[in-house]
Amino acid sequence: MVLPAQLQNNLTPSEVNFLAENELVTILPRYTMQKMQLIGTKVPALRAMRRESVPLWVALILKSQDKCSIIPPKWLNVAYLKDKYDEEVRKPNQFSALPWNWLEISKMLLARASDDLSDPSHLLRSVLQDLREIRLVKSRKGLKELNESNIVLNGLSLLEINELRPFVLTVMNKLRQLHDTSNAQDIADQDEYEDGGYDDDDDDDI
Amino acid sequence: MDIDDILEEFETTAKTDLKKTSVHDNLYNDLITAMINERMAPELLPYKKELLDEVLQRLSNQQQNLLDSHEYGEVNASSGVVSSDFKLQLMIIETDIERYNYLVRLYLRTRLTKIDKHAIHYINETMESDKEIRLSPEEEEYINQHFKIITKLYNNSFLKKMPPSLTLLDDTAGEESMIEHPDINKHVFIKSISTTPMYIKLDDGEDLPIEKDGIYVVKYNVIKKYIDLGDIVLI
Repeated sequence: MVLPAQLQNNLTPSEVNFLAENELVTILPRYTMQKMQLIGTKVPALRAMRRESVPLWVALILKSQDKCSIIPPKWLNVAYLKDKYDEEVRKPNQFSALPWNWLEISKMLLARASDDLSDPSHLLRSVLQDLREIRLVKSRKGLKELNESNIVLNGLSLLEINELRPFVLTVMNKLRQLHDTSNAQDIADQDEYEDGGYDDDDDDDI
Repeated sequence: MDIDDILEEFETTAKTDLKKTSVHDNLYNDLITAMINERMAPELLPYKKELLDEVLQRLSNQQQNLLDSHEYGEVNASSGVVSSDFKLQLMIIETDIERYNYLVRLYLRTRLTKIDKHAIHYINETMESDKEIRLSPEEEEYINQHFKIITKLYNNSFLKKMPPSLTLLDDTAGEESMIEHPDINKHVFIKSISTTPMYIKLDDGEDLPIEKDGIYVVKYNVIKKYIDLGDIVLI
């Protein structure tokens, strides 16, 4: 097959990761580099100690060469995430607003730039894990609400959606098929009934 | 010619490219959206000719630039003019090219899967001239040639031994149609990117309010037209 079946209609975690690498992050360069024109974007001229924002993948290359430090995004610290966790607990029927790629970005930064983060990485990991678990529980609970027409999933991030997708889509499509057949059946029944009714009338007339 | 000249060249060529088509300010995001929409939609979407032409053009320009700079780097490697900065920049440029390559490949592969799966459906569709054109010229050539080969293979291996009434591959008589159509009623995950709130009419006549950045799961055919307009992206 041109595209393996596991890649159809769903994104793999590594693809989600790839997409997350395009997010812009702020870096603090440690050296000077001329600006560069890439195919779609450009990397601004870097000067030591002057903040610039570049795509995450560029930042990670520079970081791996020790040419910059990455300023962690404003949501990636224990206090902010703890707040969000409390919010998740307070509002059991709603997901709190987190960035579209929070899982990926936090994972990449923890793995490759942990020295730039404002809090110790073990604390961050633990609060991230807590958040992830509570959201997972919520989304599992939400599966009860599945129907054949539509559902609203505000606040979920891309990776979380991809975890749900295979199950949700299969179930909803099956429900839709059941719904369609039962509707068709209803209409057929009604027709039959009406036909029968006319027959009775005819009988009465005779 | 030294490093500065080469880098300048990079910039000027890229700049003229940019001027030519200011439409695609965000080429990369457009390409990603196109790829994901294609990946998640149950039917084949119209080929994004302008976008792909632009991307491929820039890709080959950039690749040529890269080759030139590599040559320059090799010639001057012994004299020590080539700094590690230069290598680092080349590495970033190379990575950028690879990332585009990957996306373009993924886009085309996704399309080919769908073309293979619903070959007869799309061949019939291209016959009807009034329909909008979904396939690129290359894809159209592929679909016809591929179908020819497959039909020949089927005929030679088993169809010729069957009763003639059962040998039609596009038989629509009887209960089941032999042509596999894409199921446009499938559910899809969508995200609204339009700034104005809007309503989507569902099958049962109800309106579903769509907020900005909202995530919904709905049937593909009710939001189909919003994908073309760009108000909604599939995720």
